[in-house]
Amino acid sequence: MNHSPSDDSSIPVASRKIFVSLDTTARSRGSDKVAKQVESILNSQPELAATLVRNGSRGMFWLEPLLEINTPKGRVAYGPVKAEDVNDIINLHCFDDVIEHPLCLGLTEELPWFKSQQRLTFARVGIIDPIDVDDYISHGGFVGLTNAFAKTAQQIVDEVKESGLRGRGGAAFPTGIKWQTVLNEPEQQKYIVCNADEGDSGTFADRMLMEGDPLVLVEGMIIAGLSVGADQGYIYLRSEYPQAHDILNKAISNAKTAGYLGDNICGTEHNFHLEVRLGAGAYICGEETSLLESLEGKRGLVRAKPPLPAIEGLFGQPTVVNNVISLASVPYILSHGGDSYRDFGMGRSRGTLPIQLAGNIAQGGLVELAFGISLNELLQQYGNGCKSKRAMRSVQVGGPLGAYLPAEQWDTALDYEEFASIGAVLGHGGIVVFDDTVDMAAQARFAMEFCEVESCGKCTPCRIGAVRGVEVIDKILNNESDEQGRQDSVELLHDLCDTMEFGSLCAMGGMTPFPVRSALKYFPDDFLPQPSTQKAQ
Amino acid sequence: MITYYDPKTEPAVNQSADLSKDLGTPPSKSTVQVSVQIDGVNIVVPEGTSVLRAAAIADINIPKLCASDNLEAFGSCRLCAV
Ligand SMILES: Cc1cc2nc3c(=O)[nH]c(=O)nc-3n(C[C@H](O)[C@H](O)[C@H](O)COP(=O)(O)O)c2cc1C
Ligand code: SF4
Ligand code: FES
Repeated sequence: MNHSPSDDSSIPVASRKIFVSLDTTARSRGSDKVAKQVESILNSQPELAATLVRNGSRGMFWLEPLLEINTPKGRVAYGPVKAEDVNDIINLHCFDDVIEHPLCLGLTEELPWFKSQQRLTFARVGIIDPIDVDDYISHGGFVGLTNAFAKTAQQIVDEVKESGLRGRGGAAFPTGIKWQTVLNEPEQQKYIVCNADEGDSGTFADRMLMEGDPLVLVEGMIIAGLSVGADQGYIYLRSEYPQAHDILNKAISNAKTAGYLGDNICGTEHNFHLEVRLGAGAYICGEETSLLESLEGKRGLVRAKPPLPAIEGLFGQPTVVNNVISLASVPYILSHGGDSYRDFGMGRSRGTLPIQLAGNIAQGGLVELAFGISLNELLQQYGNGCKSKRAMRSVQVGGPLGAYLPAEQWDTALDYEEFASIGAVLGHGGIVVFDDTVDMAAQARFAMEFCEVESCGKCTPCRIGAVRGVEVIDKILNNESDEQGRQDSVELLHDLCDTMEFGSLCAMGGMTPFPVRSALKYFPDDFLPQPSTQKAQ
Repeated sequence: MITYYDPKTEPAVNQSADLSKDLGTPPSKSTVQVSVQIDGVNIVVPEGTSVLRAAAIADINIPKLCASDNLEAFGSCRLCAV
């Protein structure tokens, strides 16, 4: 690259920065080794006068470990980087331009995969130092909270209603209406609970956000507290996220020091206290009432509704239970206005959805886009097909209780109602891709098995139904000669699915039929007797 | 101190109703009355009364196992699902 450094086009020495992510996915791909190497080079060459920043991930997981260097033109990305590449990159790079290097990807924000996204909730993830309050503020942080201080509780709730935000945890319930219910309860001890149990297969948006920009979640929870009159918040975090745990605790402690948490926050008469609580590895503890039981120190048994948690929640008090992404979207709504958020999206699905591409996909990662994009565009344009380079056969959207979609349904737009109309769910926005080697009968069996293992055991259709489901599917698959018997078993399976769907107390048993029935409907051949060579045991 | 529930000594709980009959869920404390029609039978009950209880008061028997009018609704057996 032909560039002549001049004074005003180089980064001042004091702000030379090298970014290597501390996100769990990046670390699993070796970012710690890269960071260590950067550190040792910076130590041995003090004349470089650069600092290492451990940021969140940009969400392009196939390029991790990604190394970024700030230049006058913006951040330049290199990836995937190995420790042995670091010396070359740093020493060829004079911190003022894009250099030619086999791993150089150009300006991060010009990468088409990144540039075409609409990052509202994830605006700062991968950009700032996650636990640095000043960095957060200099990137627009706490503007929403400042605006919220100037509003009444009702005005905050109205703003959230105006935005059209619906819960991102799965059920897509309008957040503003939930908050209104809690606000309407007489003044008493109320709680804000953040559901960070993120148990759905192939999902990582909550984790990426908590590791990359935990303060936006803190801010969202403070605003929720102001809006309903709650002075205590809990983040219920799954124990499988030690890195997020560590980062959240540091961020909370820094926010407290800076006066954003505790008594009389920001010099106002408002108090807000926040704590992280760890789960113990049960999928069902992501279900809100089971989560509340677990928070109270009891076994995660689902509660019968009514009463709604908004009326009798944690310790019997009115409680807002929201997903991480729902709460983290609130600061944007308060800083830019509910109508600005509402301008994104389609139909009754307003705003953006952080979509997680996972499974057998070439370019896995996080794509935040307005509702309305089609699955096909996501799978091809962003995902770039299967990692195995084989044909894509099936995708499961919305976690382990979501339907399997065959190719003919991939033109469906990402929208809660569009998905419901084809018997599918968007859930938490996780997409898991399978190539043509997938055995859909095995996937259906797995859905029942998962329900059997993860059921809280409280209600009959789920506790017993799931066990019977596995047995019936086995019966279908092992029946090689008796076609009538096989068909009877298929009918029995449908009958069982009806019982589970309509009889279960919660969506665990109630939605397990979704993956089972969609597999049966769209991939019936997989349930036929297989040539005996494959059946050999 | 442990207190035992005895339907005979706590008439307030089962007001109007026949004590030999379990109505499925505890009475609602609401003072607002609502009218409902179940299987063609009209009945007026306090707001917040469960369908199970309203039906039982109207002498319509919905099979149940885990429900009892001296316990909060537990919702475990799902036998009463209609
Ligand atoms: C079996 C089951 C598992 C769930 N797991 C999660 C989870 O891991 N994270 C989450 O946010 N919501 C989960 N939910 C949804 C919650 O019950 C609840 O709807 C959500 O936390 C409400 O927040 P929202 O309105 O912001 O989405 C789960 C629900 C069920 C039935
Ligand atoms: S459906 Fe399953 S997980 Fe949900 S309450 Fe019933 S037994 Fe528990
Ligand atoms: S009687 Fe209704 S769930 Fe048991």
